[in-house]
Parts: sequence; C-alpha cells; structure tokens
Amino acid sequence: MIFLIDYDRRHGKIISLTRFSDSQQSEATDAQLAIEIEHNRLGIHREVALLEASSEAALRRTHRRYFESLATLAEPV
Amino acid sequence: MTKTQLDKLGERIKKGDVSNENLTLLNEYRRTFGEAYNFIVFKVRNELGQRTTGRRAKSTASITDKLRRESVRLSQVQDIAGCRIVVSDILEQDRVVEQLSKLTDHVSIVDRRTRPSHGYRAVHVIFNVKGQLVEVQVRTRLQHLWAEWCEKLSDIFDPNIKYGQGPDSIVRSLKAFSAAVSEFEKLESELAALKERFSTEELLPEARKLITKLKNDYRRKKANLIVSLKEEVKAVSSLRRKRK
Repeated sequence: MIFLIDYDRRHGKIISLTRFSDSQQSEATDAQLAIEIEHNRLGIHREVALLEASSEAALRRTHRRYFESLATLAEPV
Repeated sequence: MTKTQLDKLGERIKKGDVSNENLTLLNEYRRTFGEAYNFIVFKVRNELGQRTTGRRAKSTASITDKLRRESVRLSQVQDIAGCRIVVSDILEQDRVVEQLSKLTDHVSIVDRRTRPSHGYRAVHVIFNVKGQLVEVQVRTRLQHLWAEWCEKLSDIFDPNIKYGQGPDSIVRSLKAFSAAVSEFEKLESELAALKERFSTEELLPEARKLITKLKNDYRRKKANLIVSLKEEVKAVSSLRRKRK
C-alpha cells in the first residue's frame, strides 16, 4: 500500500493520511505534487511524505514519528 | 533533465525559490527513481524475505533541508528513494547487511555504528541501479528508537537537533542515549558469542550463570533507558513551555 502523509512538523501531527493501492503509484505521486503546490499557494510549510508499506501497522512501526507523540515513543519497545 | 539542469534546480530550491514550476520539475525527477526503487524493494522482499517500509520519494521539505544544510548538489543526494528494515538486534543487523550486500554487484555500505552521525547509529546499504541510487536503512529496534526520538524532537522543538545542535540539555541527552544504544550492542554481541561458544555442548553451570547475568543486565539497562526517556519527555515539555 502507498501512504501519502501531510505532516505538520512543528506540532508533530498528521494533517491528512491518504491511502493508495500499489497499482496507483502515479496517482499517489500526482497527489503529493498537488498538495505541495497547494501548500505553496497558501504559504504553508509542511512535510508531504510518500511512503510504502505492506500494511498501515507496518508503517506505524517503522515511521513512528508521524503517528506518535514524544510521550508514547518513550513507551517500552 | 541533464545533470546541469538538475543542479540548477537544486540551487533554486536551496535559495527558497519553490515555485510551482520548480516543484513540478522536482516531482518529475523523483518519479524517475520509481523503477530503481521497485527493482530493489522487489529483490529485498522476494529474495531475502525482508519486510521493508519504503519512501518512494523524499519530500520536498526534506530535500530542501538537505540542500541547505550540506554542500551537496541535488544530483548528489543519495536518498531520494529508499526503504527501511528494522531488525531485533545487532547480530540480525549484520546478517541482513551481509545478505543485502550480495544482492547486486553495485552496492556500497555506510556503517554508522563505527562512525555515528550526531549520535545516529544504523547501517545504510546503497544500491546503484543504472546510475540511480536507492538507500536501504537497516536499524536495530534500539537504533530505530533513537532515530525516531531524535526526529520527533527535531520536529517539535528545533530542526537543528538532528544535526547535533540546539539546546545543550537535549544534545547531551541524545548523546547519552546513543552511547547507551552502543552499550546494548556490545551486550548483544557478548551474549551471542557466549551462546555460540556453548552451543554444541551442554551449557556449563558457569556459562549459564554468565548468560543469565548478561540477560539481566540487558533487561535492567533497557528498563533504565525507558525511565530516562520518560523523564526526558517531562524536561522537553518544560523547555517548550518556557520557549512559548
């Protein structure tokens, strides 16, 4: 699966998470560009990440910073 | 796009000229990595059976940060596309890196355990697929925790933290955390060496005792690490309040 994440670094929070199937690589890349252009128009500085994983659970394990606060990162691993 | 055009694009982005045209050109460049990325990820998943999580294309924000921070040209950025593998410990890490290194003929290894980057520890395996680079990050769970921790601190507090700058107290605690991860790696290696030494014969009582001691040591240190991270959360919250 492909995941498009619009992430507000300063607040450490995801603004939007869009899911695409593996066959939608091109659509996902187009969507990433569309968000970046929209941010540009509005003068918003956010990170727009395009990630891929076998499942959302796998993504949440390997890219915890997008999904978790500092406090939950400190929970036992 | 030629290399010169690409580097000129990088220069414009570095200077803050993030026009729609430049964003579109950058996006086109990122797209060109799709084939190389798919090739490597397919091999890693199917030939090595490793579960990877990938970044199909580095975000504009991260590319801009990199161009501004380091004196690299856009054509030299090694991690436009890549993926990540998180393994249990340093022995598994060594095993996976060795397997990766045999996957293709064009591969280089950057071992950030021997030369950590501002405390960052991991092994990066970089594949060259017809001139395009795809980076595979191999991290142990603890190295990964450090990296996520450092990234999150950089996100919410100060983007310079991951480059070894920012508030002294945070920089110091990240250094200590990284040193602790290194100690865990030593314990993992010692434990594995002991187990291997006594694997073919019945464990002698003394060896068994030693292994138990090392395991207990490991658990105790891990519990202490979690406690210190939780304390750090409080300290960071307090620092953030003061800044506001």
